[in-house]
Amino acid sequence: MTNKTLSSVQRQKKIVEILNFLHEGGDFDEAKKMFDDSFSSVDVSEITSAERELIASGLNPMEIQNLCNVHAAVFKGSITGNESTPAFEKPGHPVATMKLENVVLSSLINDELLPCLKKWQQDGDNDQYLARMQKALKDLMTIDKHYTRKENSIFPLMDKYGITAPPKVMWGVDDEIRGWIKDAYDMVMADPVPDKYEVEAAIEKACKETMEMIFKEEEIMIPMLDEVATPEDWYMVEQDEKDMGYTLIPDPLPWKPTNKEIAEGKKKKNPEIANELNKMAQGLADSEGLKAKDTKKKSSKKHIPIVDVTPSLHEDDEPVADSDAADSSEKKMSAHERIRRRSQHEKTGLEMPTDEINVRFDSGRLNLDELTAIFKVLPVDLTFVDATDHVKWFSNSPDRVFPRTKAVIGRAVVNCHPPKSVDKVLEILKEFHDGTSDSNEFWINLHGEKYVYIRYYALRDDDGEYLGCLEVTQDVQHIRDLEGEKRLL
Amino acid sequence: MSEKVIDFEVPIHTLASQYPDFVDIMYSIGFTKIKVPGMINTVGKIINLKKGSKAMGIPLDKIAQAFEERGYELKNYDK
Repeated sequence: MTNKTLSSVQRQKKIVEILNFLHEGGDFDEAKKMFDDSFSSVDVSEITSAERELIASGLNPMEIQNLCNVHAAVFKGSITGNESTPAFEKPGHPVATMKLENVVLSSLINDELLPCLKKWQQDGDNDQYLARMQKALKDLMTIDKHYTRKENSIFPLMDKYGITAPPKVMWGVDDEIRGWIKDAYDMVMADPVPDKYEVEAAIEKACKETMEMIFKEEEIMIPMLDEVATPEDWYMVEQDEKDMGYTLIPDPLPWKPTNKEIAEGKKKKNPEIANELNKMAQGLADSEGLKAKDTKKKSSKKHIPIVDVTPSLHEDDEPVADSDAADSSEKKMSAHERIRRRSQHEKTGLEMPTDEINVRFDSGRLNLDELTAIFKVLPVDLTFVDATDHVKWFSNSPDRVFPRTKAVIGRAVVNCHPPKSVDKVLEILKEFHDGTSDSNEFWINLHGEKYVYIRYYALRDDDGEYLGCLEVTQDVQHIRDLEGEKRLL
Repeated sequence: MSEKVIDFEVPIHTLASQYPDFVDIMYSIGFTKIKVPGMINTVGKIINLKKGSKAMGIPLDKIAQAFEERGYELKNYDK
């Protein structure tokens, strides 16, 4: 069937069918094939009318917006031939999502915020430009979601492959940018608005740094990840990032790697850089004294299971000496393999016949289903960091105060905090390790919406051996608001 | 003795291992993160001076000038 044999009505029907298929989470390549089978090319107006038909058929406009992402990609193929679309460009792929946000952010800065700033300076009595700057900066502040996703789902991925320094540096800059945007916003909201040149300097600084960060993400971070990350890694990012939300774009389409992509990912030869990165991480780990500490711990009578995380951190036994290319390739493959196994491992809890397995406490028994359900409804969010200062577990309650992604499991705790708070975290952990302290607490007023109470406890076994640190986080706003009483009787 | 050449399209990791004073010169121009352990070996393999200039907001001519003053020849620098 070619486009010549289809009437325009049929063509439109077919487009609607493909868009619907995609919208329901259908595979992109398959949709592309459906498209290629029916059309050699398609006109923009045909897509537009198909959209209209979808709206008329009851799909809400917001959902239509989601589909727009796809249209461009479908189109692109029909123009450039049938080359399969690179995964990074597929709608819903975390990289595509990130880049889409960056397009919107760039446009917000260059097409709205900066031009308005200029016009406001020339025509200071015109409040309209000030209002638009206020709005634009408010929108720009939602970059927080973009950064939060990056910090919680992409950075762990870099960490996993031994790329530890760049995310730390980048996280610091992210925080600075958040601050600069906030400063600029506070200025344009102030009454009276400060000196024009001050406002100009603040806005331009925020814009310049934001634009540079976009460049860093796309030209440095993503290419670096491309060297090491597998399609499964990206799928994990995709699964993790949904809860954290998006910056100025509608929720992206669901994406998952095709079988072909996964197969190709498995073949992924160790790029030289990945090996270098691992050696580097090894060096850092040594210099931070992590290895020495671990060894000491392990020599004590109790064996504390260490979560296998950053491959390099646990390759202690292997020679760090320069190895030839073939050797290093094999080494890296095994790291990939190990990571893959680890992610499979996380799900294996379910393989057990849960009705038969019981955990016996001294105050009763619970089976795994019961335990899981209890953690889910506990009115506190728990995160457990083991005795080697690696994140080992968190309670997956639906409305966590702070986002936790599965990618965080196994990360060194030092890599999970913004640089500005990391010293404090290390101090607390040191006191726990040393036994000079057993708990610590903080409370934060979050924009007057939540009152977050965070407690840290040192966990020790009966012999006083340090087992790890339990973080307990709770929004206590409701509790603080309670007055009088409400009794059962 | 071979000439000292700074190629703006070569990864900075390569330049850093070629010329002992490279990192200090970069630091003095404003690439302060270059001295953070682990940066040269990771980010340094991905970026060259052209990209670094854009990422850090440090003008290319400033970079060019700094290296010229220290007797380097410039390659792939087009301003």
